[in-house]
Amino acid sequence: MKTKTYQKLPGTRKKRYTLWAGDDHLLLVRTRTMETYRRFYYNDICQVTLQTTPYGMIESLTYGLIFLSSIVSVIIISLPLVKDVPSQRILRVLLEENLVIIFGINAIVMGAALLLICIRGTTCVSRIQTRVQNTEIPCLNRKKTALRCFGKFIPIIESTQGKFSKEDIQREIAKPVFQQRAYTLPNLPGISHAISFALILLCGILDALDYFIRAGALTSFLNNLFFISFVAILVSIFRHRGKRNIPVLRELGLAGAGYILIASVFGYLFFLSVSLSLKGKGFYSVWNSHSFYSIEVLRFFSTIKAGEHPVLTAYYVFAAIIGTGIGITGLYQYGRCRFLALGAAKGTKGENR
Amino acid sequence: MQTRNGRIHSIPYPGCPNCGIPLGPREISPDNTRECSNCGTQRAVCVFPALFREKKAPSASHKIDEEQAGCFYHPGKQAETACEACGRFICSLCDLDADGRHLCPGCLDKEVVEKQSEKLVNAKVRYDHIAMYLAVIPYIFTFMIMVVAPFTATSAMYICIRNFRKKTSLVFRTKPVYATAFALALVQLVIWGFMMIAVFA
Repeated sequence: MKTKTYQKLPGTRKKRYTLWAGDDHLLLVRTRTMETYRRFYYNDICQVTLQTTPYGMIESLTYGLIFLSSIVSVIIISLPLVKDVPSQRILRVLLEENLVIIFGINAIVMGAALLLICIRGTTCVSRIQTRVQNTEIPCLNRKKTALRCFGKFIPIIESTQGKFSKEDIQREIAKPVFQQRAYTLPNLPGISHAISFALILLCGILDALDYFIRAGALTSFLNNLFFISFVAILVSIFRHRGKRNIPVLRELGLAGAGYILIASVFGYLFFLSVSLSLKGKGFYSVWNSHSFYSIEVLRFFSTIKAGEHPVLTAYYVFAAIIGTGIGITGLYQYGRCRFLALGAAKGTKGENR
Repeated sequence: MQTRNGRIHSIPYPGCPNCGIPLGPREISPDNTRECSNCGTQRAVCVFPALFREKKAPSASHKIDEEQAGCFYHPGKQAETACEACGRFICSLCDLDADGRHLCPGCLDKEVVEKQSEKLVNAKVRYDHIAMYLAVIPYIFTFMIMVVAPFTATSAMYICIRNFRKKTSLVFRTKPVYATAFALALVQLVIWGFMMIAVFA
């Protein structure tokens, strides 16, 4: 009977990478039209590391906030709050029913995506280190899968090289050559991060306020605040572009930039078209009479009552929940990174060892 | 060796994969993740004896005595072993470990070029994938069957027949892919034949 030379190890097929266990080495295979191989002999492997990354958290936060806003939109549209306008009743009922279906489907899709991300678990970067190379294993990008895979090949390495006890490790790393190693202090997150997240939080809060207090000045201020927040995020990402110790803040900043783009561009267009259709005015008549972004248009917007149209209600729910969520999470992560960095700089490192 | 933040280390040591801070013995465990006290990253680290093994680089410093055999490539140096492929005497510097065998540099080059040993192969062309692409792509653009089918289908069938018995992947099974590609290419030719008959008859 023909025996298999390589045994497949657990792992996703991210970027078409797969990891296989051979008789005396691990084989990292990248399959495209050309299949390339990288070998790690059990006898040469020095250490195996796993480092969690914030990408899964950002993904789940994004999907979770959209899921939450869709659910809240469905609930609010279904409430009698937005059904107090008797005109065009049949049209409104149809529109509201359709919107409930659209937001319901959106909530199901986002909920399913969120569930899938939660099942797959925390994202991570796995590396195999030998004397001459430190290679990332792209197929082991989930903590759960990576630990399962480690459990399969680490015993083989230990049977080849021998197992280290904690005392052995302590004895070895007590040697001066390992103690004198320099390490990098973690990067201190800049104040620009805090400012950008505070601005996003303010955007979310003011969006919620704008729903209830209809005033041209507030709408105008909010539009300008969106622009300022976007610039602040770009500045914070640009200023800390080389610092990879704080990826969570960079990714959250990018999520915030995406939120602002969607909220401002789509929100503005939805607002314009819906408000014009509600007031029975032609789109181009208002457009021609006032400039597109003038205070008169904003004043015109502010004449619409809160909850007068379900699309606007949904927009405000979306903008308020996501803005507040990203802002609070960003400020919390900023505080955490800063606390750790300052703790390390003061010499509190290693206390929990 | 370069860490993610751009720091260069000459040899590996047990440290945080993110910031490089040396780890304590209790922090070295593959089973569960712990938070780095320096940068806050959650990480699991497992070290092996190879990390602490002192590996001396081979040298060819031993001078030859009158009664001893010399290295084929370094005549002034003492031979340590004989090449298992060509039988030439080689010193410790020229003794290259290839899949458990002692080879001289010339024979190792030859083995790599001729790919005699599976453990020396770094890349392989996946002809089964190429055949599959050739067999499938015309189906995606239906109108293409009319024009390109004679070329793509025959090329796919030729690749399948020529490489069916060759091992074009170290780890994946290729024969089912070849068989499927061959069948799809055959159907492609049949469709093309019907189209030609419908057009010209």
